[in-house]
Amino acid sequence: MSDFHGVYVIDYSEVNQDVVKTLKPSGRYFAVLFLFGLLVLGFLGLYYLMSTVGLGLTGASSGIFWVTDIPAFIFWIGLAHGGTLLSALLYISRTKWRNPIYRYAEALTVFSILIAGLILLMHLGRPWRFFFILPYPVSAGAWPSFRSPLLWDSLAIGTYAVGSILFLYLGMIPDLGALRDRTTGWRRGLYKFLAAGWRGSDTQWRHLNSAYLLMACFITPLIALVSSVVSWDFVVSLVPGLHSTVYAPYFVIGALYSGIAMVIILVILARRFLGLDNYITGHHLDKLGQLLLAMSLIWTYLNAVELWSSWYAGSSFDTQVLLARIAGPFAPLYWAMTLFATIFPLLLISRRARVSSGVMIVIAALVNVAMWIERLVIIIPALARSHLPNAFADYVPTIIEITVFVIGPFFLLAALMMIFVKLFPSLSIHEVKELRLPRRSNQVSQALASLMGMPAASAGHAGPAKARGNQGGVGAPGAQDNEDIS
Amino acid sequence: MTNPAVIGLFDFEDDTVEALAKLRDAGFDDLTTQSPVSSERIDIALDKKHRYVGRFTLAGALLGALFGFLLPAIASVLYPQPQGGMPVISLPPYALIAVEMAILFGMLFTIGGFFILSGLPTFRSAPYSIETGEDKFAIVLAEADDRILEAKNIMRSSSAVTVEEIEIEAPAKAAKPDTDNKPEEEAQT
Repeated sequence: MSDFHGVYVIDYSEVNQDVVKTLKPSGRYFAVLFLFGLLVLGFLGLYYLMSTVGLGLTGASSGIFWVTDIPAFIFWIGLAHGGTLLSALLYISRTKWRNPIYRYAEALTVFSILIAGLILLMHLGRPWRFFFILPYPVSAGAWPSFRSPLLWDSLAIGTYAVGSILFLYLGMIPDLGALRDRTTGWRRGLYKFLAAGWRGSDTQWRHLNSAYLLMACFITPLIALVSSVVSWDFVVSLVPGLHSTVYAPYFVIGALYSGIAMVIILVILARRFLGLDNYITGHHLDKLGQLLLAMSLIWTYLNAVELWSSWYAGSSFDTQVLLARIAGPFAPLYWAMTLFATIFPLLLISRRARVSSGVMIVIAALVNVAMWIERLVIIIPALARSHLPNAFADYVPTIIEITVFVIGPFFLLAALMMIFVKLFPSLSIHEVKELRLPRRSNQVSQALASLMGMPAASAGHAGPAKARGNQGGVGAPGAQDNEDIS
Repeated sequence: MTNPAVIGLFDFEDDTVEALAKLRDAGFDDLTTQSPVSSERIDIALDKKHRYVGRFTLAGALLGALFGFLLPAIASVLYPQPQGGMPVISLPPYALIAVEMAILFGMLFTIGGFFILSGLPTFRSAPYSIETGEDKFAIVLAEADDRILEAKNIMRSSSAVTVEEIEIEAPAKAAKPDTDNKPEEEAQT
């Protein structure tokens, strides 16, 4: 392929201007943010009611002591992982198409992990005693049990939260420096403080690249570690339906699956509402769709393995849980999950479906619904069909419970993302520019293309001529022909 | 006490690399660059390949692993909580905590190492062109002494857009921030 496939011009100044434009809030933005703020207040108010009145407001019973809080916690931990996959793992593998979209993924990671932590605090019932699960001598000098998965959990999630925030900040420093020079007032003060004197010197770039790669190498195994530790919360128990060796990889893949689906939703919304069509194109949706399809197939396989091993083992206790899931009171949920997470994503085999924003956003939303259901049908049937029949229980969630643990956190995520995209660069300025380094050779190819009457040159940096007319967008197929694009 | 210095702005990475090579051939060594993106070719041209962040990372990871193992081990010895005949110091769970702490400390030391090695945070003014945050590459020659004209000519011969003479505080601290980037008449010709 030559450089002339597709239009691909990055004007470096224009990238800065476009990002600055995304930071300007409109009146409609404030109205929507206000609405989400009210909804978040309502969600927190209902939680306050639940924490003061007690678990009687939920569908909990003597057998089902965990309700939708634990499935919600696993779901939000999972969302965080999709962001990490796109930002860290694809960075290590030098996958260039991640550059225009990874900032959303990193922000999703940070906010999801914070929301998961919040749900964990809610789950405690008495959140003011949260420090009991930290490695800290709490009562009569005694320490928490270091053999408890809950302690491993709190340390893993704490590590993941700290790492994700640092990773997001580190990658943003050059962009904060660029914005510092283009903004005024309080924004300039904020960016000046956060950029910490960044000047883009060769020394700073060199150490930034090293540090970012090392951080990515730390963050990536955390995907497996955090999800595995969360699964061990259940696996190390002897509860039928939860005591399964396949759960660690099953949780990891489920986490990546739902996380990628959420990144797709965010990227499509950003493209629509932040005017970043030139940077986030059908090419990116195509790649994200391929990832989602791959995750769907792996998840389906692991789901089948889990079913098969439960059935083949022949344990009557496990069989009870299995029947409750696939043919009992939870069957409608289970088969809805299969439809949304296994059947519908097969549409992504078609490239036409992958590059369509409408199809992608619907499939991604259904995948997230399915992944929420998945966590529910893992936890609740296992509690509802314990060893003895007299412990069998039915479960119907209450409206308050659904609002607090299912719907409310989405309002919080929406509000946090809306604030983020207006405070910080939602597009990585320097990594978008790195897609095409400004070289004379690129300008020559652009001139040649003009002379030959080709649609446009695939030159990178517009240079002094300030070439315009980006129609293909960053990361478009033509871009990959350049030696800088892998 | 100030020293004369030269800052040249370039449109292209190729020109910057070419100018760096010429300047180094001419015996100018105190060279730094500023750019909107990282460039491996500039690093090679400057012959600066050392990356020491990894040493901080390794130190942090080892310290974290040690801390992550010793904290539960010592706490268990001082305050034993016997559970089902398990040993007081249980390797499987404590190794898991050691891994988690190795990652946490490794990340914290990596960030710390980056800031220390990059000379950040710094809020002092220094030779800097805001255009390097957008679309220009800059070469800063800190100690040009009496060879300023030669350095300027080399930069211009490599298609520098502007070449300016500035004063910086000796040995390398800022005295005159250069942020307006108005090209000298001389540089235009």
